[in-house]
Amino acid sequence: MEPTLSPALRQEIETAYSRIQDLPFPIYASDKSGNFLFANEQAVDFFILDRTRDLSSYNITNYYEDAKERDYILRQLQNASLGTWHNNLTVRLKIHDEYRKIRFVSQPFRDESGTLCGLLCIALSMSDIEWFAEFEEMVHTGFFEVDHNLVIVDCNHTFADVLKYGSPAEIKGKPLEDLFWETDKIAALAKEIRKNPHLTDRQLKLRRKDGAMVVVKMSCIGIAGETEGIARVKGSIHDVTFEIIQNDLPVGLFLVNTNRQGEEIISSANLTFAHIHGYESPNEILSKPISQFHPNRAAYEAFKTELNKAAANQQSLLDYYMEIQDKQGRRRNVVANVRYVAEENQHLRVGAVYDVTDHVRGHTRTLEADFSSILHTYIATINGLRDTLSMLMKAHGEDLLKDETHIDRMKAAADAVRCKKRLEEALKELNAIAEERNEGVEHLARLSKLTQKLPLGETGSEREKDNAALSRRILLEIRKHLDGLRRLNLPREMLRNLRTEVDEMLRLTSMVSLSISLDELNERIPDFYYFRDYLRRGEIVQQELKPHNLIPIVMDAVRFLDEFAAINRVSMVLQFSQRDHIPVSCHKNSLNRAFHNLLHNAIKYSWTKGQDRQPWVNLRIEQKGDTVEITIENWGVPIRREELESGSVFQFGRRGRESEDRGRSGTGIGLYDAQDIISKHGGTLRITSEPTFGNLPDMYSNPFITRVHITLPIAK
Amino acid sequence: MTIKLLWIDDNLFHDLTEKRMALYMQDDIEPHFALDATEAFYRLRNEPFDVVIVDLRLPPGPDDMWNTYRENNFQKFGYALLNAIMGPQKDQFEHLRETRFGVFTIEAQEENPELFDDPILLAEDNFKVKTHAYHENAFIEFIRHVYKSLH
Repeated sequence: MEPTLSPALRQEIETAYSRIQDLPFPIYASDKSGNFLFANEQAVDFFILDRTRDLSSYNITNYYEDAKERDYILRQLQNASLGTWHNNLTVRLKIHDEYRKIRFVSQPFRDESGTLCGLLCIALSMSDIEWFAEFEEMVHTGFFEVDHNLVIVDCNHTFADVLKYGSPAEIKGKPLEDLFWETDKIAALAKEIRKNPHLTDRQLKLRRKDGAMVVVKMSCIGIAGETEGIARVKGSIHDVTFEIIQNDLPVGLFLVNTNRQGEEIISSANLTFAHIHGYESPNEILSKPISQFHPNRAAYEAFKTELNKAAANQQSLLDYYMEIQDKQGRRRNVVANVRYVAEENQHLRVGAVYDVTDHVRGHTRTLEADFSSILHTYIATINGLRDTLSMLMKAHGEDLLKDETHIDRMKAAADAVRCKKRLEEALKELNAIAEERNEGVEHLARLSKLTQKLPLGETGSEREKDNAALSRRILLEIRKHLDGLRRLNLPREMLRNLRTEVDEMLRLTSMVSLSISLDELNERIPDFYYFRDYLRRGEIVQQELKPHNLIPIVMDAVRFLDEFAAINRVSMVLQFSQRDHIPVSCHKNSLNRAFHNLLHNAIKYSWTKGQDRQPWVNLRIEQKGDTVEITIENWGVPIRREELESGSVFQFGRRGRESEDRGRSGTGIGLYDAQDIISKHGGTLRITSEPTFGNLPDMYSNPFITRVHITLPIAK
Repeated sequence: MTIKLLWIDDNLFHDLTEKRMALYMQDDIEPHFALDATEAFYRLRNEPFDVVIVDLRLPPGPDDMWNTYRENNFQKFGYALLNAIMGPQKDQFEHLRETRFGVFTIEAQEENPELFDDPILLAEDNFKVKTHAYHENAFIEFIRHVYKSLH
């Protein structure tokens, strides 16, 4: 027995027990720890107690299905008022393997300090109906009953709550007309119930007490009367107003939770969220790590940084614009509003995302159209500049011309070296005179120094352009000093000859620079053209594809790139008959752009180590059954194995690791665009890049054979 | 007194040729050049310079040390370079303690706040925006200014 249970308190409990022990229910008293103090006959039978044993050897806690439940009851009674009975305590007991549902009617007893020391209890068995009826008030479902006059005769608290009434009593007696938003639908509903008494999840609009509308899902059953078809209707409702908002709002809603492994996973999402991310239903996206929908780790980290920054200031992250990657790997543009759920230590966040892809694409289209116009003008200007440079080269370098577009740089270099020698000799001679006359000695010393600095004579090296530019600067400086000497007492004729040599060297170095600049322009102009055409591209619409002969489309690209190939000293080997007719259903301009780009790449990235043969590009076209196979093959800059395996070479804006070799320019759009075009024509595009004979697979400094394999269906 | 300069920019042989040539003409500047982050990293690791001018939008070059940046579609390898030599790998660059760093780039200062934070701590005056009208003499003066700047 509890030592705290004083004799006086025990006496008090016993007195209370003796007053009710004859009632026809199991009645017992226990101390705080649950040891039985007293028990009537019914209690002994109910708990199946051994009459020969000391009653205090039994403990009520051992009969609880869950022992913790008794602690809960004690806590409830600790705060209950003294001298009153409490009947709201229902528990499930386990008595000799049999579960019994019990409602305890209990009276607490406390010591002088107010601590609970004992209980007097009546244990009432509950039927299943009574047991479950309790839940009516506990679950968040509204229960109601309507009589044959369509008047509410009964309901629970939740029903009253949904309709914003203070209590069930306030709503009882109200006709359905007062509760329906669309009263004209009551008659039809009643008729339907008469016809089919079981209705499930019927969506209804109800009117709240404050006049606002609430949307509910109602299930009900019509109960037949003795004289009439349906005497009353019982049913349940639950508020789905927010479910409707959640499911029908054209905004993606989500909940992200951090699991035990620290991974952030999608725990809840609506249909729009699933669709934005490429899934058919919300269930498919649940449990997926949210980070997989960010295009890369850095983008995800950037988003988290901004979210945490906002959270540190007790704010939500609002209107955060970002790119996501859906299930199929397609990029979409979204705006997100996100915040951490309070008291979850940043382990739970809730948010909404708007898909603004079409909006962004619209803007991008406008930008592309504007930019393509500017680029078009720019290309025209560059072409004009190229022609002017070409004419200047012809006008001032006629003696140096090797062909229509190139000068003989070897000859130019040799001529410049001869000029320099003559200049040095003339300066030596002039210096002797200057020293004799003590005139302009400093100028001449500077001139000699500058002349020595002249980097002439190197051709074919990467420094050729630099040397020409530096020589020009030095020669301009020399010319300035020569002009300074004209005021002094030095032989005019010698000065004129010196000036002539300098002017000639300036002409020669300028011709070299012009020629190099022309080569550079010619190399880049196809890039500009391609990029302009990409910006001006139209959408490929499947229905608008028309049959065209593939050969002229390919040949257009070949001819356009003839000059580029010649400048790069790459030969194009065509392994097909130009008289063939291979019809393909296509968008002609797009297909032309794809071939233009793939051939341009093949030429641009070609080189060989052998001196005996210039680099070449093989272009093969073969009909195989109902498809045509086009292969573009070149030797030169490799594409790394991992870039091919991961498909990164086909990603928008991504250039291969080796593609910048020797300053080769590019946009990183070409392969993405070509693959997109070919796939929209129902074809395939595959690339291989393998080491040339005997070379190791990862030695990317050696030339590789790169092959682009394209298949297209032949039009019937 | 000669300023030993390393200028790191992938356009040195294109639109920066004339500025580069102007450097050769200066008696007080000994110019050296690097075209990507890898080349610059090894040049800087092997020898001291008085002034280093960096473009932010650099190509990474062949070294695998930039792979993490590369995988994330990062563009500013000039920043990655500065961060590497002043941050995680600074022990290898003790000989650059007296080196002054400058940034010459097409981007605005506001777009690169991280340059002015630890570990780079670039002085604001050592940041210059490339514009088509930025004259070569102004550029040479910028280099001299960086040389005279405090750490």
